[in-house]
Amino acid sequence: MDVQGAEAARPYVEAAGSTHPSLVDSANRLGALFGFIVVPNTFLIDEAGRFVAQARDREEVEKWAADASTGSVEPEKPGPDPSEAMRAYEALVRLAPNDGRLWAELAESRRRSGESSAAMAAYERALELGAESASVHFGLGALLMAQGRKNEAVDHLRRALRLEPNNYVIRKQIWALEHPDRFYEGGIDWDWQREQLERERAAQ
Amino acid sequence: MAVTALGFLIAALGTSLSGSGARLSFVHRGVAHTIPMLVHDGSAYVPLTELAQSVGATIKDISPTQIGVCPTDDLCIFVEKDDGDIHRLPSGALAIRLAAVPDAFRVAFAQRGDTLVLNPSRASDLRIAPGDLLPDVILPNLDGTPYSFASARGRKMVLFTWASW
Repeated sequence: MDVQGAEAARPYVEAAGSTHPSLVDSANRLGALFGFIVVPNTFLIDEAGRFVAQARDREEVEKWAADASTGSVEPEKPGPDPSEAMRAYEALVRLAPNDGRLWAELAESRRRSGESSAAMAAYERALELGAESASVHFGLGALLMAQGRKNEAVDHLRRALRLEPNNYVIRKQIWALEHPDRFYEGGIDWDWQREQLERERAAQ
Repeated sequence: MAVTALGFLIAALGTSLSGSGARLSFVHRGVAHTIPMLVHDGSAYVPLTELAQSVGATIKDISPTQIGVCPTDDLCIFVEKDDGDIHRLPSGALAIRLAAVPDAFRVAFAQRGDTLVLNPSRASDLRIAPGDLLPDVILPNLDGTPYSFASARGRKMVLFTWASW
């Protein structure tokens, strides 16, 4: 979970020597889907692709993993082509060109299809039309960050945080971008985080 | 919703039903449908009843504040009437915001050639709870190669989310 992308994650993955797939979620897709506002989290997904539960500890994960009683299911056919969704929303915004929510969906589908600059234009159109949400600001912020436009990215992450002030995935992401010395030089400075949170709450 | 805005929507519905308004054409399970589409204050809405009939869903009036959209017999999604996604027309009929249709009716919009397709999908793309099917999330690994969650179907998956901060 990091708008800074793969390079922010790689040192930790290499240090852990992990052999499972390590995936980069730079636009908080999983946070929005599972509704988590802090990390870390552990989610159990069964053979059918169903979200079973959030695990509290390692013991719970191991017990669930060892239980073969659910049986296996045939792998499903691949999911829908993201570019088909993108083309559908292109058609829908032609039908209702001032519908900000459709523009936000178009932006998201363009981002998932790798159409970054077209996605940015659609996010901006969604915002002009008043379809403001934390996920729109976060999605736009992630794209700006990928282009190295850090100040503009942070501005949109701040606007996302204003809409979801209890979301620590957003808040701590901003901290890491603005105060990298508190995270990446000699470990995470937890005392600074407590003080920073108090400062930000006092300023509200 | 403001009274003036309701008045606008009545006009929009009248226009649409008289045949000169916008219409939404799509294919669902291989069958072509065309239903009225209302554009109100820039946002697009479709009448709930016509849409439900087209995609084989049932609409249940749950309470004064909620309706249930049931795409199948064993799945109903509650939609708040007052959150802006649903508008009640003077006739008592309800219209739903087009952007809210995929999650409420559990369909995914796809464009194939000139055809808009509403693909049945039991997975919510917005927010899931225990017991829900995951949509097919596709995320890159550290080398940028896309990984599809659907490729893990048939095996249990432990999803651990973390960050460098």
